[in-house]
Amino acid sequence: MKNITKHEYNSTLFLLARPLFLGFGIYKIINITGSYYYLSIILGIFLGLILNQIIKKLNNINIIKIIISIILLIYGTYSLTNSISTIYLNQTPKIIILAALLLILIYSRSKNKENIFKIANILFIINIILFLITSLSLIPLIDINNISLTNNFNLTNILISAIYFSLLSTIPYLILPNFKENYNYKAYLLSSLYTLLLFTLIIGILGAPVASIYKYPEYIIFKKISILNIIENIQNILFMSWIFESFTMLGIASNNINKKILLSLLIVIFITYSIFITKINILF
Amino acid sequence: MKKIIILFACLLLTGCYNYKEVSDLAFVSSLALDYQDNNFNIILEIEENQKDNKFSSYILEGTGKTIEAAIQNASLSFNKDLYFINLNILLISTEAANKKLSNILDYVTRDNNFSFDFNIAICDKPKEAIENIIKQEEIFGKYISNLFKNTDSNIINIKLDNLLNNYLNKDYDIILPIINIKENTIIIDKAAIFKDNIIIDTLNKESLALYNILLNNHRDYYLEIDNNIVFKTSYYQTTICFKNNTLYIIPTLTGTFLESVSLDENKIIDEVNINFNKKLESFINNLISLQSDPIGLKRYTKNKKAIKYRISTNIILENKSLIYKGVSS
Repeated sequence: MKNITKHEYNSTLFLLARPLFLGFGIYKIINITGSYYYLSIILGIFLGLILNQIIKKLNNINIIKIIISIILLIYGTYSLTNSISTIYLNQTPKIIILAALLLILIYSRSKNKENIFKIANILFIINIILFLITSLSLIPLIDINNISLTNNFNLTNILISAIYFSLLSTIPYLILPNFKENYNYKAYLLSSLYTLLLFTLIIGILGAPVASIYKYPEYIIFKKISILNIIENIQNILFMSWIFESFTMLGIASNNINKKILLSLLIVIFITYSIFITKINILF
Repeated sequence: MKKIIILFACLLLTGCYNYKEVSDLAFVSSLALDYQDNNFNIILEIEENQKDNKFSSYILEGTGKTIEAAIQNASLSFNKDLYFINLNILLISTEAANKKLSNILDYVTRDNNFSFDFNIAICDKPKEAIENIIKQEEIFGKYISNLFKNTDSNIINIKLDNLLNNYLNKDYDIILPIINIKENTIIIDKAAIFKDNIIIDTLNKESLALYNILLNNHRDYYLEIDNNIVFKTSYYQTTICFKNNTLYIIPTLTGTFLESVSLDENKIIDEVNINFNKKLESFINNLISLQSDPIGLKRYTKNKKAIKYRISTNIILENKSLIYKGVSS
């Protein structure tokens, strides 16, 4: 662990606060709160900062780390396979996508944790570049009418959504090594504000009713990007930031599990998905 | 173990699996949909890849019980995969808009193969319109898309996200531009307004200008009043608010006079103000009588019925012309 620099750890903290929003997280928050998303996210950030203090204490308990790693591994592979299948490889069988993903996980397990952190550092820089391109080209497309408040204010929904946000953004921190010593609230705050800006872009461009029907509204807004009327259809490149974040989470989660257990788990995941994949396809 | 992983990765991840060349894809620029006798009739305008940089396209037609069946039938004898990611325009006939709008929107929204940034318009003679532009060696979809993008005249520019927003939002009724053909020229000077997803009326050019002013869609606006005086806006901003059961509509028009004779400026401003208020009042009264709300006034009134409204227009004169006095003075 000595080889992990502060910058690498902070980059990982930044990346890990977002992968659980892919698909389900964004969809759920927009559906519950509509144009009041920002209240729930701001509240969620405060709750998240409190949760991180609790995670500092729980982080040293090994069994929790392993259980959460297994859960994130199962959820992460499922959501990533689905998003890649929906967005990139529409005509490729999901099982091939899953197989490729599992092979990458086996390979990343054969490396040390330090390598994952080093990769996360590079992915963080790529993510920031993609984020700047996204923001600069999409902010002018925001329609203020879409953000203006409607008459469906519901405090309970906002609170539920804030809890969702705080849980989804902090749970991956449970799998990080030495979280107590290396936690930096600024990295979490920066990542959460990035997510808040992304929500603002989604609601501002699409409007809450439209955003709430899409599985991946974060991908749909990328379709609207046109840089100087020359560079268009770059949604697939920009969406890669979500894959990087998910990969970082899965890489760290797989490193927390014993090699033999991991291999058995991945085989079980592969068999289970191949049997049930058509039935659970429609979930998200 | 590593070698096996690398071998698998090489076979599966190098993009060789299931690949398609660009020349195997047919890029659809326009899609026209009509619904007659329980069947969808579709027209596809396919862009052609030519080496000498000439723009050219051709059309395919098909009929089927569903949109997918119609598209399949259109491409039966076609040896390329249809690709809608560069779609520029979706034309819907009045009949299809009234009867099958939800199916159409579902179809174009669900598939990732579709663009998200295309225009949508009502057109009852799509074949004629597309062929007309193809004859001029231009691609209809791109031609119309540029027309929507570059014109300063008062047309409304509705894209998929705008239409979906109005369709899914209870506070709005749908409005779509109408494409007509007059003497072999494409004209977009009207729009269809909907009530409960059925077309109930059309708005003319003047009404569209007022619609654009109310929604702050900045287009050129000219107001002609007596004595040959024309007021041309360079900028406008409309504020709408709801207080004490009254809807306040406050447009502020900044502009200049053209072709004006020697009259007292304040008098003309008053005249412009009165004239504009009258026009706006008649436009809103028309919408109220039709019970259609493409502007989304329900957002402000929170669906309260029998509300009053008050229009208060501000005219700001700016002098960006090259002359101090009118030539006629």
